[in-house]
Amino acid sequence: MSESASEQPVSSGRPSSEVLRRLLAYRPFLMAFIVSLVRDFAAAEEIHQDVCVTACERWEKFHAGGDFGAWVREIARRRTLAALKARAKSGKSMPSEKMIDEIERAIAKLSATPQERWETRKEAVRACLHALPAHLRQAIDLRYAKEFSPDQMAAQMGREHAAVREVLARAREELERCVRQKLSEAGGSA
Amino acid sequence: MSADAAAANLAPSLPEGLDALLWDFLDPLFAAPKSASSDPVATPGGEAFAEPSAAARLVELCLQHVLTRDVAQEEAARADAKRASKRMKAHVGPTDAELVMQAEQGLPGAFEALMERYLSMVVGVAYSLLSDSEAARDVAQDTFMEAMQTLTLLRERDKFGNWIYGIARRKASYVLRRRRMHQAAVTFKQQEEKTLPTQDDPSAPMSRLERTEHIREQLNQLPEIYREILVLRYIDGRSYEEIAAVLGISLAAVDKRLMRGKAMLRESLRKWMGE
Repeated sequence: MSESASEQPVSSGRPSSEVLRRLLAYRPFLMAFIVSLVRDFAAAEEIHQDVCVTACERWEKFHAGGDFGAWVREIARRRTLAALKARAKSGKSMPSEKMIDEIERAIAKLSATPQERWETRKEAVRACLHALPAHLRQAIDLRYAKEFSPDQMAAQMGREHAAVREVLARAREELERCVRQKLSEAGGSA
Repeated sequence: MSADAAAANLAPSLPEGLDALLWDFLDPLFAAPKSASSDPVATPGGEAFAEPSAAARLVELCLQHVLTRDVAQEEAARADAKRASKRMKAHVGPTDAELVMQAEQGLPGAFEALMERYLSMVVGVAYSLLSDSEAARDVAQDTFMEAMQTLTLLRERDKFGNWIYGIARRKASYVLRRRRMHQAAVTFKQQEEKTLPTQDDPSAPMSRLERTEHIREQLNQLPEIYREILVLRYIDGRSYEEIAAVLGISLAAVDKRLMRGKAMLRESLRKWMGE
């Protein structure tokens, strides 16, 4: 879609389909940014939702040709900082501005990769998930699909906490190795 | 250079064990016990990353974390939808993709046909989470309402079943969270009632009782979400983390909701006191 579409006003009270399309495309990076700071999927989802609502409300202020990623990351940064400050009140540590800057720069660099490549990567994750040995796949499913706690995983898998952690680490390692291999096989076409 | 190529070049120079530390940082619930109380990737005081390569690698792992979750949840939804569709009778007539396209074009009856096709699955998903047929029907109604409003966002029309399954699951989870919240508030209210003064001494305790009753009355007039959070925080003395866990919301949301709740209660008490 052309950049001129980004000038569409939100006159109907419903968000422009352009901002929704862009938010959907940017979702993995935005979530990665938020998760890396709050380190909790449930909290990150909530902040992400707030960011999307704010982006839709302020869409008229985003100018065509601007850097959408930078714009939406700035919203996410503010929302995440507010959440972290609330958490800091109850004694939790808070990342420094310097760390947040470093993470944001790294996200900006990653998100400069063409969207098609990340869609390819997601499909590679899917293929590799299917290819995992059953016990590693089970660890991934329990942690990510069912969002089990370490206790629940230990009970379900009939293993000690330390063993659950090891299996999960192996599953992540194997998944990443497989994804790298698939992307490397796909080569320049990805 | 692509991000993957950059990461591949970066990989050999990563300090040994950094990935494990980063995973502990990123997924603290599953962290090794020795590192659970600190952020091992940060310098003392948490001012910066201890390793120059840590931020880039953390972000890459984090993206992998997010993609893995997205895919695992999509796969689980797909498997559930497949199981549910097997239970359904074979359909004759237009495919899902055709019906979605017709519904987008505003063809009368198209969306209704999709509803008819997926109603039992949607109700089933909601029921499996809520164990309450009335609530499951309400969730189904909300689900189809949202689906109708956002149908144009569905990119793969033939995946309507998976898509609607995801909406139903999200809505049912939300109702479940609200229900847990309500149950928690009821429990705390019962505890509060147990601690009210007895009428052994009718003078001073009565005035305290009266005051408590008035505060409770004002509290009861607040919208439910504010009443419950105030009860959790100030009557039961729960921490922010405990409230966030009970209500299934973020710490920021706890903070925001408490502030609003307190302001509303203050205002309402001021009116009652005739200020």
